[in-house]
Amino acid sequence: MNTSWEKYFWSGYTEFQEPVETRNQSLFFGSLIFLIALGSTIHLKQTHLEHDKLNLMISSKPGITKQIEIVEAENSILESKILIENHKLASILEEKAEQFLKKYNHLMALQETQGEGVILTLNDSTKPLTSGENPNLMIVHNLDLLAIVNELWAGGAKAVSVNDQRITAASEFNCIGPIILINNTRVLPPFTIKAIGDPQKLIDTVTNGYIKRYNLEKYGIEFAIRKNDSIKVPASRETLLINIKGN
Amino acid sequence: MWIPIIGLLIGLLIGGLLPISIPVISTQINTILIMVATDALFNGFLAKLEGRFSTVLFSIEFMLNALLAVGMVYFGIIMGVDIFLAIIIILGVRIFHNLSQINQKLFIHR
Repeated sequence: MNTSWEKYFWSGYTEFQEPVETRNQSLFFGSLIFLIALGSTIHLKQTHLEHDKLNLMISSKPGITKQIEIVEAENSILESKILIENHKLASILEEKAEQFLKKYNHLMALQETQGEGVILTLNDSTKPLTSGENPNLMIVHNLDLLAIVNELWAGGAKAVSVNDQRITAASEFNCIGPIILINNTRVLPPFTIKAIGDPQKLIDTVTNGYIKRYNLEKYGIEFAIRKNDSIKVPASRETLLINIKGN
Repeated sequence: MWIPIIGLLIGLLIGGLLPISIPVISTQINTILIMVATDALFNGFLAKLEGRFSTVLFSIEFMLNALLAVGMVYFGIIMGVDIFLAIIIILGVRIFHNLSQINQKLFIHR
């Protein structure tokens, strides 16, 4: 009771208090302070301690909230790495797709091509039938067209079209009775086959091939082939779905 | 006089050494308990300075306050309403009010 501080401390007393009461008061305040200290340390240890330096015996893991933060930070780093790898993969796939397109561009036939080449004309025969002749021999069949177009490809043609139907890798020559279907559209004689490529080579392959072997001219099927310096072959009107495998 | 200091040291030791961890959901309840304890501390100290301190009264007052505050925060968590902040504000107001009264009692020489 000597220092001025203690005088101020006890200045609010108006009556004498027994020692037990004072001890009880101290216990009350002590327990409150104990609770505050306990709660605060547990909470702070959980959220802020990276390594349990005090708790050497039990475990060496950081507080659970801190663990969550550490794992989330690692997660975000890994996610950014994933993004980078995805971008790389996308660019590689784009490159592969472009290479593929370039390689098979002439087969996909999406563009109008122009260049020097040959123009063939085929027509049904106009000779009158003699008795006993099979009328099927007088007309141009789809297989004739197919064979001639195949020979053009073999002769190094870059683009082929039959009656303005561009021949692609997915084109077919369908015979439905008296009509020929190419790219699901009707084509009627006279057939104009345009091919872009080396003209001499094309002429050589075609004239020495199917036409000669099957001697179509004997039956009167009109066939003519001539060079041309600037041929325009139209673009294909079909669309193709292509699956590109990444390898 | 020295019992509160011993209480502080024991609290720090046990909190530091014990491998107890609180479930992450109930961090709000833990904070509310700390605030209620601080409020009871300042209230009791003020009552002691004014001479009207009664251990029974203030112990029961602390426990009931804690019960009420924890109950309100818990229902706030369950219902999804953020009552936690409101209780923190009210307790803070009380703490600062009590602190100003203690200040007047202790450091103003009459």
